[in-house]
Amino acid sequence: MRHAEKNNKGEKTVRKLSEFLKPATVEETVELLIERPGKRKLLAGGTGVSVTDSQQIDGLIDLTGLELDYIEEAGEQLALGAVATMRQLESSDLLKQYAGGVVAEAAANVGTTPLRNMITLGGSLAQMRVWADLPPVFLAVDAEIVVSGPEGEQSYSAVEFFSKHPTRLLDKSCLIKQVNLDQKLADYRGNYEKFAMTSDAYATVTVTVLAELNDGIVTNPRIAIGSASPFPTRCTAAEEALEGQKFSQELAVKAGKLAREEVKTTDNVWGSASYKSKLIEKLVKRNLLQIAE
Amino acid sequence: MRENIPDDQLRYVGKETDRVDSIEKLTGKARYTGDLRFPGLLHAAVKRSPHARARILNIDISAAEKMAGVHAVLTGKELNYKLGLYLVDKDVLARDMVRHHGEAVAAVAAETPKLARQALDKIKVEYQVETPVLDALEAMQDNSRLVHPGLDEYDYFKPAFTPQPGTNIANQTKIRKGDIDRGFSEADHIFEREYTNPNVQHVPMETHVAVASWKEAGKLDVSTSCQSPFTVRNLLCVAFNLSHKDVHVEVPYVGGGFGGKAGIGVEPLAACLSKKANGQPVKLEASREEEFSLLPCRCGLTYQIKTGVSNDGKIIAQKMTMIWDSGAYADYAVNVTRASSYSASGPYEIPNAHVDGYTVYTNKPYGTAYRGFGHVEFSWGMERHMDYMAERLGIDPLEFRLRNALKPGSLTLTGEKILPSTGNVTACMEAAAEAINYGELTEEERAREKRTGRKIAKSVSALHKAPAMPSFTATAAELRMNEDGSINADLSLTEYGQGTYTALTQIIAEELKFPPEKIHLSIKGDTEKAPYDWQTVASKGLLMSGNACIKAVQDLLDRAYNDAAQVLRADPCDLDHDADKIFIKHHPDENVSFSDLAVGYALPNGQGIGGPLIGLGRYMAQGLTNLDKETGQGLPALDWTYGSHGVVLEVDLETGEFDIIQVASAFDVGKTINPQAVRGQVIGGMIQGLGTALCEGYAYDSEGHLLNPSFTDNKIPTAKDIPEKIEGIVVETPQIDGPYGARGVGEHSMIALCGAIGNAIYWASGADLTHMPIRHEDVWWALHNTDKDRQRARYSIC
Repeated sequence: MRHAEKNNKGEKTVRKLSEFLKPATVEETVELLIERPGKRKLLAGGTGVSVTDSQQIDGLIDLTGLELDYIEEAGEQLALGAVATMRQLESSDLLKQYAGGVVAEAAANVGTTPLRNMITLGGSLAQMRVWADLPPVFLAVDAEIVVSGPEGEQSYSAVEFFSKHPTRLLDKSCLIKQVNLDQKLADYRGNYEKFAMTSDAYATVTVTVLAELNDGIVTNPRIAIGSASPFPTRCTAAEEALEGQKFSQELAVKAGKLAREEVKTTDNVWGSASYKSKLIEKLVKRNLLQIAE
Repeated sequence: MRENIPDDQLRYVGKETDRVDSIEKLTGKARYTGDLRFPGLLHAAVKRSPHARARILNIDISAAEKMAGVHAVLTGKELNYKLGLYLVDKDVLARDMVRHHGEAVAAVAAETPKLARQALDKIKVEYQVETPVLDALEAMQDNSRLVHPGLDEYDYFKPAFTPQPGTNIANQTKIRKGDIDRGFSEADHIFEREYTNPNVQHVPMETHVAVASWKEAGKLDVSTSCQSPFTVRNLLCVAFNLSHKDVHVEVPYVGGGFGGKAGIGVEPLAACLSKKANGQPVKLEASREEEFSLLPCRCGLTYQIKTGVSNDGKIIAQKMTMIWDSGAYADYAVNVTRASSYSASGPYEIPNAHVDGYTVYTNKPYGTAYRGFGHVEFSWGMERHMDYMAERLGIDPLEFRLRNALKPGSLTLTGEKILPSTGNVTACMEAAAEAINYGELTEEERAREKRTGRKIAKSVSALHKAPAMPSFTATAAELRMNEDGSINADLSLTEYGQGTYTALTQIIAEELKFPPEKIHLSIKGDTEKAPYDWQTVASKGLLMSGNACIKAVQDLLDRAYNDAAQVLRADPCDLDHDADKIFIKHHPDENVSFSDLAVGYALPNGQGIGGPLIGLGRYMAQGLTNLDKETGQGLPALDWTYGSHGVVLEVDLETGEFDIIQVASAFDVGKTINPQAVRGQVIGGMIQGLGTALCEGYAYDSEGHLLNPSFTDNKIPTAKDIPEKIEGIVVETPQIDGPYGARGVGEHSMIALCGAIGNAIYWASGADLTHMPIRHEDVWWALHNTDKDRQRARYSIC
């Protein structure tokens, strides 16, 4: 939560704007970033820029000319362009059919419709707020995050990407270009649930569960928790407990309890650490039961 | 008035009628204060205190004053004006001392909003931070630091309020009925508990905004988003020592108020800035964040109730102590205290009652009117208390309510006798109970429990509220007939979303026998053109202005009949009229049209008869009295609107998650003037009630900083958060002095909703809550943890 004293200064924005650049390619964008490090900010949907309070930044680089707003099949993968909006993600038939629709569902739970029309995939990942809905889902599906920078393209596994804040992980002259989803997971059963005070409030806790289920046997389970702590968490102990087991109510309860132990929850305005722990236990169980139905 | 006309004889009253302002609003044509254009307009920005309590040691405005494009920079030092509705305790800008986080300490008017903000950054304020008084109960202790050491010097409205200088108590209201000690001694059971509420923000869609132009020779023009143009004018005149004839307040469309715009807000500061800027118009528009702490909020309440009940479930005695946390200034809080004190028991008869209502200053953003005027807050405690007692008495909570409900012959806390025409709270409870199938689960609900694993429960709450207003509150309406026989009407009630203007149009139409399309009620408020109204508050608008409109129509028709009598050479008693003409009853072909009479009748030879047709109607509250200061006895209530909420909800016993399945609300509106408007008020208020019941509220840190002044951190419900099923029900016990029997229902749909929710949660799960709002986490804590375990989150709403 922001301290109100900061809010007293009036509108927060990029105060001295002297450049507005609209590159046509990713390479050109990276060059523009290298040219004046720390002075230019990437502008995609604008929701992040609108709350950026900076005396240093005086240029904006508009990413809407890069044609990075695609959601398409690319061989073994689903490729999501970084400038695709939350609204595009939630409306995409490809994503609705991917792993129980977890990515589409998470996108549909971001903020309000007007915000979802603006917020982009790349912008959301670059800021990686505690409450962000997509990181835990990408962690669950082992997404690959493709970043372009001075050294060319580099891919990060979700585990690596979500281990620290992007400002500490990535070079300042990088941009997130694409997220790849493994098509092998497309037929997994999956569920995403956001617990929040109101429908458009930031999440207190989010739970993503995925698994294959054949003749009642669970394989390749994935459980990821968001918003309960500064970074999303994969619950590997809970996953191990599920792997190869015959699904039952008791198994779901057990996985919930294990998941609860695995996340070091923190207090914030949306809930106390202890309540979040309780929610994790319950929501993991509930969502496992739902995918097993 | 006209309270017993059968439905089939009414043409327009009681019929579904589209709102008169809907097309303009929906097409974006409606112009609000922020849309108005003024040549040479300057934009204001306000420097606000980052501390809850501090001495102002120095304010350096020299750098800001030197900036090109900055036309005025003000600090409290040069503004020796005091403001206050009932207790004159507030400066336009803080002087010497800041009393709450977010209080205005300096202000700027500049050529652009950006420039004004930049100038603010150049103002340097030196503070000496002091320990704030944050807890109202501690503030009442003898050794507490004082928020207003100068309380003894303040002027106040003496007939109604009693400040206690040397303390933080801005007002104490006492109500004494019967013999409280004897009542308790006769009781078989005594139940005592405390219930609490936090500060809440009104969050109207349109934030506070005013444009002021301080012209030569003490003439002041103000355009503002407010509820009460004449109160704004009067307070500006009193504060600045100006003549009422010279101060012009106009109010265009207003985008919501909910009590937050009932009194005076940003207008005085805009006026002072304009004066300093040599009369250039200055616009002061609050940001959403400023709404939370520059402008006032709903008061916090600690409500202690001690009740004595007999074995057969009759309440014999009740002692009620209300501690209203007014924050830094008294504003409406003193009157919230007064009005909620005389209603404090809810719609139940208490033979022996003792109420002490205190308005207590603290170093928090200040409290004001908020839809319900204290009743939402105290009804939370009262309605929870009713179920708490019923359970221990082994009586069904609805039955317990019905046994104690006010009914004809009952005496209210102030000794007012309830009559059959007062309204019927029993009928409201019965209607709500029936709508939710109270007392058992349906087969469908049982199946749902099985499917979800959640427990379903039901509850019924009851409420009452009368307008909180001076006993001598008055209003007026003016009608003017146009050349084509149409009508322009003016009054000074502000239409900020209630739908009253549509209902008043229907009343005028009914009374005139004209179709509503022939009547235009000017939405714009204008103290130079429209007649007086005290304030647009308290759910009194329909009743009082409705009566004024009826009287204005009678006045206009009297003139028209007299003129027509001359034209037709008939006695006025033999005349009748329809939508177009006045005719002789026994010779209907002998007639004269309204359009021929409208601006004076011209005979064929050119001679004139009569004159422009106008009608004036005044209405003043009748028979109300001040309350005795020692006993609180007297007649404060224009009318009582009763109501009841039935709630069905389900609770997850493991996590405390709950969903509201159904809300059915019944109100005794006397007579429905416009079913659409009643439905709008019932549903809108209920959802606003859900917000303050479930998620809204101010969170402070230990130093009194407000932590959640935004829609990011202070959530309000949206369309996606409403109950699965909503039902509004009307009970119609005509109000004898209401227009066509109507009484107001503007605030009531919020009241007692949280109590009903809290009770249903208790019956479903056993979670026994005494603090609102009720968040899922609160239910979980109540179910699975002791209070001692709970380390209340740093940001909990308190």
